Amino acid sequence: MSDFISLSSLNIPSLLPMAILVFGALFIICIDLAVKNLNRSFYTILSVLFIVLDLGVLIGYNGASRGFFDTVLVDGIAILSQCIILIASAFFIPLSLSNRHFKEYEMAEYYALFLFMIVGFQFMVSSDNLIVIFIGLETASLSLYTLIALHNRAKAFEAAIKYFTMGALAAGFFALSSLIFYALTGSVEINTIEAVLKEREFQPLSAVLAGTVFMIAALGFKLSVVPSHTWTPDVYEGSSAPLAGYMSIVPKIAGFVVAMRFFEMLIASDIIWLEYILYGLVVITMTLANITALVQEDVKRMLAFSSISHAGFVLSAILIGTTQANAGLFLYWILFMFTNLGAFSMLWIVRHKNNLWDERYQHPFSKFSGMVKLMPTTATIMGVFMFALAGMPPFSVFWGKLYLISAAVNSGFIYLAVIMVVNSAIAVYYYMKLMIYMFLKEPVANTSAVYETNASTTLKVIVGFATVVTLSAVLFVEPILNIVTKFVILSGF
Amino acid sequence: MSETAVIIETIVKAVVVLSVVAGMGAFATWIERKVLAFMQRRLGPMHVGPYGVLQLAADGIKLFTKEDIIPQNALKPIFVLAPIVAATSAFVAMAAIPYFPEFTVFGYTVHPIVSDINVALLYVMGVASVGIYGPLLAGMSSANKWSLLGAARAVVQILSFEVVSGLSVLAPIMMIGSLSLIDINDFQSGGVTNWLLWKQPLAFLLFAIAGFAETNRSPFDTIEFEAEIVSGFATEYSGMRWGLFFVGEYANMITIAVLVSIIFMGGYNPIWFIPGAIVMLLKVSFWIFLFLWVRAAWPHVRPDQLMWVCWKVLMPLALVNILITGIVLV
Amino acid sequence: MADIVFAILAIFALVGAFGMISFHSPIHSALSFIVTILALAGIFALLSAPFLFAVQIIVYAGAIMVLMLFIIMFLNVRESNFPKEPNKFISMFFGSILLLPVNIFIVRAFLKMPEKSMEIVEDGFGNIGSLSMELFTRWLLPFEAISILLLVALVGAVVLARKEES
Repeated sequence: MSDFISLSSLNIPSLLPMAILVFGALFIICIDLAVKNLNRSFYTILSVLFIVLDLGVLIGYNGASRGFFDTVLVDGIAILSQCIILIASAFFIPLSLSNRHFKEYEMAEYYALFLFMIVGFQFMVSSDNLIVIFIGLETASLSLYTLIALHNRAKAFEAAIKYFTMGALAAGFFALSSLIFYALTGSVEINTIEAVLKEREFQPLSAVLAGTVFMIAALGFKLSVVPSHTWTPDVYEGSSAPLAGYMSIVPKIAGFVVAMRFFEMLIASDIIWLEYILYGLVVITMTLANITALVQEDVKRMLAFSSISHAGFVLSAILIGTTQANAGLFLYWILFMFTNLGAFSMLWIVRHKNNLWDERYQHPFSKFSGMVKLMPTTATIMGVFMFALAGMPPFSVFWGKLYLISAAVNSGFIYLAVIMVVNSAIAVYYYMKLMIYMFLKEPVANTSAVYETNASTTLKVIVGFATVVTLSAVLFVEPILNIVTKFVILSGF
Repeated sequence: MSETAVIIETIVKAVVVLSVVAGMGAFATWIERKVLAFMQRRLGPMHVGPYGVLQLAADGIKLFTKEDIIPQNALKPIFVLAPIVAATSAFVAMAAIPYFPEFTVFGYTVHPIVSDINVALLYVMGVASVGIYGPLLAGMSSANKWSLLGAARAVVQILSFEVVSGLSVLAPIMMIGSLSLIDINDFQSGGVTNWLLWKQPLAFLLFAIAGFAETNRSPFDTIEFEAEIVSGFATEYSGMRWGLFFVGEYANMITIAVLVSIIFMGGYNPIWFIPGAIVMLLKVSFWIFLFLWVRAAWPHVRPDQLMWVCWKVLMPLALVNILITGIVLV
Repeated sequence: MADIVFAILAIFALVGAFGMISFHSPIHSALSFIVTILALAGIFALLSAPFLFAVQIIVYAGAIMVLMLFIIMFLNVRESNFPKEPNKFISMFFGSILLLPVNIFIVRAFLKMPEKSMEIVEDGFGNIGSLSMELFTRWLLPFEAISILLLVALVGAVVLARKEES
């Protein structure tokens, strides 16, 4: 290797999306150092500004490229998932401008950590180097643990500690899996690992199996796939609604992209047991989470289990592995993003500092009973989100489900398709449970005031936007699908 | 050379280093008393032997024959382990230090270094940093509040100053491009003007200050400052166990003196007509003397002042020094 | 010779690891973990990676474990505060039996790995020159990304610790 490296070989533009947000985070910290007690709206606007700037850089994408000695890989799915991550962040950060004041939103560090977290996810999706992926994963996770703990409630600390402990275990699994693959192939780059393994026809099989199992355990934690999903409801319940909503979307899309890169090579090997493992995971995750969601008494926990089940549903795309399925994954997740944004923002709006309805839960079903009589608009909007999550036509998530099921049928996964349909039917039950409470039961509260303590114009605008997208999804499913398919094909999946 | 011969040679060297340094450490206690006494216009020990030289033998007998007391509530295994850790780490650190230029005895070339590893400096600093377990474990296991306070101070002080010494020594390493102490020594061959001291005065100063703090010498001896915390982590120790701490501390002092001499003051390169070995001895003696001189001349600082100096003055200075060195090198 | 040294170090590492999970008091656990760390450092030295050896000692034994012991010291846990673990060894025994198939599987996986020579490679191997050349060219980005990771950990820790004040 020569002693001097030309700057152009580094391909610095490939790093620009991350660099902007790192700069933004450092900028926020420095401002806080110079000027104390700035308003939270200032930090919010600043963060959103940096994110929008970042989006602008991403849109100027042309063709797959690598940079920094192949540690950065900017391909179609990297750009696509980064867009999803950034758009979701741009909507979830302004949820800090709620009516009631929370201590964490007054701190500049909250926004700095939030931006760092986005950087972590961006590193995760735009690399096929296991070490970079691991560093991104850890950066994002550490920020997320801290953000959860910042909520300053006993439940939030509990959630952060639980998430941290489980996350540390998952990080260990990831490292162990990378170790095994490195020992096998002498490389930590997924495409090199793939090439070496293919040449050797995936021998020794038991070592490949061990590496795969550890990788599934590690990614399964992030995606909350069933054996490692137990943290999800507790953590969602403990953290504030915006963060819970964020956790149901962004870490998972990052995890999906890594899983896509990783399992694509293994699926291509035609190893039959791998298909069985993934098949089992998909089915169990969907079904078990759905069944557990049926008996939940708290809407937030119900939504947590529902997001596990949605993740299982989408994981089937990786099992199917066709271009249609992979495009379906992104379509599904874009639609799911707006719907879940709306649902969790609604929970944030109706948040009350005291648990008026139940000692144990913040958002028990009884809290929403008869809501339509007190606040017809709010109840209707919540209803729209529930319909959409249940996969009712013509609301947003329906189109994602439709597309994924058709991808399954097209590739001959008939049983899988049947299971997916059955699960969608089961899911309707618990979403409808909330509808029944809202529309058919008598109200427990006398005034609508208890439901509005946290509502502010910003929150209402965000919910309104999510509602519009959810309602009118039918209009732009087609263009989104075209773009997504183009990007997925470009990156060869 | 066969494997067995290497092993035997290494063992012989290790035994020689161990006994010589332990002897020097014991001798240094007598020197310390004498120097301090002269600086305070006293005579110091005079009665045992000529000029009190045999005082150290008397001290040794006292240490060995003293009753060995382990406090009732102490965690016995750890209490016993702590002084051994302190002394062992101090001596193990010396394995990678070259003391003299190589010489020939009966046609057999001797390299006066137990093991010449190419990251010797890192090794010495690393193993010396493990020595912190001595005070820490002693303080934790003694069931005594002074011990606990002493241990807490020891950890905070030594860990903080390790940062300073590590950063300050980085600048010379950048110029030399090697962590081997022999390379560092050879880099400065050719007279006093080639000493790194002139090129890196700031690094030299910082490293020396950190050396004082890490070896727990006055004015930074907050760890066992009698007026505040009795005897710090060693409060409950007596007899030979205390003696091990003592020996370890003096061994650390010698290590720091040797390191400063090699890194900044030309090492064992001969000056004019004086051969390298003598030069080295003179330099180390000078540093030991300086340790004592400072002790006689300066008052203590408070622990919080010490931390303030470490993190807000010395560490930024060390970073600036690295930056400047980097700019100059490029 | 190297095999004997490796065997000794490996036994130390295993004994330390076993001690760490079986001791009752956290101080003893931490101390036996240090034994494992030092044994691992020795194995690094045996693999002719002197830099890793020194860093392992400085970072893990010299800094991280010291801070852990320091925290244990400041928490000042008493014997009565520890959870009672009456059936600890029985559950450990059955747990290890339960995990035996997994372990056998992993060991078999490792045994089937392609053979690599464990000889000393060359003179320049593992010294700081070649290592830093790798770090600052090929691995520049991960190296810098780790600094972001550490910054996040730092900011997070400070924010969480500072909150107690008010």
